[in-house]
Amino acid sequence: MASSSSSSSTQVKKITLKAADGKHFEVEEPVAMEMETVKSFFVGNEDAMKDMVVPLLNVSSEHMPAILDFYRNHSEFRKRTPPPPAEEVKAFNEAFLENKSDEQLMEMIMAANFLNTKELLNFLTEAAANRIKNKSVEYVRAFFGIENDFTPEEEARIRAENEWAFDGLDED
Amino acid sequence: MEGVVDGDRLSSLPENIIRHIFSFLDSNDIVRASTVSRKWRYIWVSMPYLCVDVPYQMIFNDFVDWVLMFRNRLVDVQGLRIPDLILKENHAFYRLYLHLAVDKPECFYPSFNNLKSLTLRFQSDDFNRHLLINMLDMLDCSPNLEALKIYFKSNGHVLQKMRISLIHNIGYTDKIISEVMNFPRLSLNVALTIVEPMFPAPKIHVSGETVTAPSVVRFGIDIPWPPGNLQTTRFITPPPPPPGSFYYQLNLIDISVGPHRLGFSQDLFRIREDGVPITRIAQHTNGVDVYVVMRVFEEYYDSKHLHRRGQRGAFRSCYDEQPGFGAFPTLTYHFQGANYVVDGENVKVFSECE
Repeated sequence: MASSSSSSSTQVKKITLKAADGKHFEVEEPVAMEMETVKSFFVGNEDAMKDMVVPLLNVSSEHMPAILDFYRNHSEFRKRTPPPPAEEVKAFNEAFLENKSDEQLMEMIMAANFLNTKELLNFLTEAAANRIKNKSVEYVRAFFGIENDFTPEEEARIRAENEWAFDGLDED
Repeated sequence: MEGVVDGDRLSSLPENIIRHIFSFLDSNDIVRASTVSRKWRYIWVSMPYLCVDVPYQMIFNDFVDWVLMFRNRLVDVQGLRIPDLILKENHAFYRLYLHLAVDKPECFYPSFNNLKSLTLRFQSDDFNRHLLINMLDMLDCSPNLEALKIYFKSNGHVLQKMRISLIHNIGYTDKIISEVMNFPRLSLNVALTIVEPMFPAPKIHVSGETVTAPSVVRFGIDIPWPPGNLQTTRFITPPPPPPGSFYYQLNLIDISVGPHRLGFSQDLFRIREDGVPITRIAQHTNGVDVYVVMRVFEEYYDSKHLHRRGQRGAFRSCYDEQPGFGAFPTLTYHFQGANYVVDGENVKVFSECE
C-alpha cells in the first residue's frame, strides 16, 4: 500500500506506529526495530511490514517524538567510529531530560518498559533514581504519587527501626 | 471523605520498574523507602541488587548484621556493590558472602550462581593481596559474572569495561590472570578492573597517546597490534583444561639446541583426547625422547672438554664451570608460527654441585 509508491527509490523502508491516542508516526525501519515490542510484531510475519500499522497501546503521542529521537541518536552513537566523546553523549542525555516533569518521566519509563528497550529504560530509571536520591519520604511519595497508607503509629515505628537511614537528607 | 486518588502512579508502575529504579540507589535511600507505603515496606528485602554502602554512623559489621537479618534469602543476588569495604572487618564480609552465596557440589567455595556484576571499593590502607586472591577464588564459581570492578578508594576513577588491569607490582599476577581466564564465560563481555593507587601509576604509551595507567592485560580483539618483531602462536583450545587447571597448551612442533634442530616427530607433543599432553617437557615423565635434548647438550659440552660430574645419561646433567667459557648454546622452542629462543645462560642453573 504505502510502501515504495512514492518519490525516490533509495528511500529507507518506513514502518507506521500508532500511539495510544491514535496518532500515526512514520518511522525508519532500523529505528523502529530498536523497540523489541515492534520487532517481535514482525517476527515470522515479514510480509506484514508493508502495510501493517503497529499499535502501541501504552505510549502517548506526546512522548513519541522524544523517544524516537533518543533511539536515532543513541543508535548513531553506538555505530560511530571512533565512539563519540563522553561529553557529547552526556550533553544529549541532559538535554533530553531537561524540562521533563516527574510525571512525564514516569510516563516515559512506562513507555520504555512497554516498548522493551533496555537502553532507554536504563537511562530513564537512573534519571528517576537521581531525582529521589537523598530525598525525604514525603518527597518520594509525592514523586511517585503514592498515598501514605500507614497509621501514624506504624510509620513512627518503621522510622525508628531504620533510624540511621534518615540522617543527612537533602532539602525537598 | 477521602477523595478519589487520581491515578496513583505507583499502581500503574510495575514492581520490576521500582526495583530497577532502586538498583541505582544507595541502601539508605532504599531502606528509607520502606516507610513510603505498605506496598513498599518489603520491596528492598527482596532486591536482586544489593548495595552495601555503610552509613557513616554505622560500622560495617553492624550493617552486615542488619542486612542479614532482613534480607530475603530466596532472592538470588545478581548485582552486589560494596562501595566501602573495610578489610579489617573482613569476617563480616565473609558472613555476607556466605549468606548470599549458594552451595554447589562442584565448587569448592559457595557460588554466586546468578551474580552478574560485583563492585568492590576498598579503603586503600586495607589493601590486602591475600584477600583479593581469595575473592577471585570464590568468583571461580560465578559462572554468569559479566563485570567485576575492584576499586581502591584514593584512586577513584573507573576504568572501562572489557579490560583487565593489573598493577605491575601487585604480585601474584600469574595467579590472578589465570583465575580470570578461568571464568567460564570469559569473553569480551567479562570485565575485571583492579585499580590500585598506592604506587604511582606508570605512564604507558598506547597508540600514539601517553596515558597514565596501570599495566593493562588485554584479550581477544581488544589487543592492539604492537609494532616490531612480534611472533604469535595460538592456544590449543579444545579440549578444555580440566577444572582447577590454569595451564594453557601451545602447539610445540620441535626443539633446537643451538643451530641444531632435533627433528622430533610431530606427534610427540600432541595432546591426548582426554586433554592430557603426551609429553610435558618440564616433567621428563614420558618417553625417552625428551632426554634427547639433554643428550645433545651433553654431546656439545663433552666436545668442548668441560668436566662432567656424574654419569652421562643421568636425570640431571652437571658440569664444572670453566673460567672464560661462555659458549652456551641457546635452546629454541619451535611453536606453531613462532620460535621462543632461550638464551644459553638461562638454559642452565649455576650452583654448587654435590
